[in-house]
Amino acid sequence: MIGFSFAWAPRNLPLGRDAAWHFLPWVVALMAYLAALGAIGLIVAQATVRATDASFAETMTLQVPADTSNARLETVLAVLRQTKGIADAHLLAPAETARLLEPWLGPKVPLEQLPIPRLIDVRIDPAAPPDLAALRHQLASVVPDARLDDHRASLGRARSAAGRIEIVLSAVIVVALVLIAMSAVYAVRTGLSIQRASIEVVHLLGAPDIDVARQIAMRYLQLGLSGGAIGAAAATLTVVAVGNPGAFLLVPTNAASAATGLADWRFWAVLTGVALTAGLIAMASAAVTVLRWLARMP
Amino acid sequence: MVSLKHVGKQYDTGAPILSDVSLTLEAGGFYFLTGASGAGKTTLLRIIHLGELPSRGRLLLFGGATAGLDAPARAGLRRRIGVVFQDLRLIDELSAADNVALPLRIAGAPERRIRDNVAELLAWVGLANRSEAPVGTLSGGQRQRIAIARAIVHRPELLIADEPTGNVDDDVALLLVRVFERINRLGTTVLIATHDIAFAHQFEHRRFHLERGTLSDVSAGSDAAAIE
Repeated sequence: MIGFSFAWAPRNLPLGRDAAWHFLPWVVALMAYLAALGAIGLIVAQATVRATDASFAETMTLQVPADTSNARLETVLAVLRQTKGIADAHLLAPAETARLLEPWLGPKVPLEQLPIPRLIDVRIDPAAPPDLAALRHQLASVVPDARLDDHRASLGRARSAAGRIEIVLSAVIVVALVLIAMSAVYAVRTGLSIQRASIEVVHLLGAPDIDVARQIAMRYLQLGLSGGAIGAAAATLTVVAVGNPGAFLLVPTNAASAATGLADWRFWAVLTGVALTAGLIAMASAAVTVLRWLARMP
Repeated sequence: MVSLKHVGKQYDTGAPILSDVSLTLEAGGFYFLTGASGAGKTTLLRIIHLGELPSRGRLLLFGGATAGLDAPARAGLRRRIGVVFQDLRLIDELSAADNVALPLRIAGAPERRIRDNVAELLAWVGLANRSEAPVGTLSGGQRQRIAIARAIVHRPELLIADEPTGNVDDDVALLLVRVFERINRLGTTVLIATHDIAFAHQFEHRRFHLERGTLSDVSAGSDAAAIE
């Protein structure tokens, strides 16, 4: 005999006429916007670390002192190319090295007059990497001051920086979601105080608390979803305007665009997830608040 | 149908509103509850309607004890009762028809049945032509009739009405009691509270009188069994 019907729900209580209904979607939209940007940032950070990891895992750099003879350089190259697990070894020409140093030293510095080490770009087979300790030992026997950099230090610094950024972004997301819940509770309480008489009537006429709560919660789901959708749309516009989400993190363009762009399904998954989460949080907060309020009635 | 056993009600340290009320309403009966303003009539009705908990004593509704019931069970009992509140408690933002339809909608009745019952009830109380008017725009007497229609639209097993004739003239009051008698003939037990003792005396129904929190049977040829 007793049942809930969506058909009568909007007509049963005169909902939607207090100020809370007007401000809640905009508050939710703002919080959803922050949460969406935070989530996109998280994806970019994680993808960047992964891309950097993969890139560094396949390369090493060997620095050989500037005064090393060509014969020794050839020997070093031969050692590298014969080592199991090394796919290629390429000696950078002085001009290539100069290009790499130009951002730090400027274009007018006469590099040929400086003791710039020779650089050998080594590509390794990530599936069967070489024994680095043995390789270092072998290289030292040819050029004692040669320095083999497998980028672990750089990678560690990048990971550490990305980890700190992820913590900050996670905090932003959590705070935004908590604020959505708090806003919904505040809006429900305001609405309940305004509609107290109507809800009391329905309660006294025998409406099950769960039906009253469900009716109000469904309206807050709508409000939360619309706010979440507005926030997600604003986040999309921001990403489009910025052009490259990776710019937030000052990471290399190729890694960032691989991580998150408008063509990336994760971008849309984040926006959909944020909008849905905003709606569900608003709905759950409303349901709990109404049920607790009704439980105090006789 | 309704049985109160040694029911008392007192708020905090104030004077008791109900002292030791015992009362039995038989199924299908028609009863008046009289008493001056402040005698405790509204409190007694609220206790019967589960809108208030007694400070002591027991209330049995429809043959079952009500103490310790959970919220869904209490809501289920309320749906079997029609109530005309003293302050009417209409929802001003809704139309007359939607106010009358509330109990049926709460019960999940089909829309067609709702339309038919509401139209019938509005005709009973003489407001068929005001069905779409927001109740906030109706006169006091019209609002009273809407409240009565809402109380009986779902053919409750028990109808309790708190001063249902308070805002209407004598002719309309008589008409409303005839409406209550009509619903009573369909099997609903009726309890009407009124301060107007002379008005209640016009009818051949059982009468209880509440004074200083104590209940007495003042019916002509009263049946002492009704009050223990």
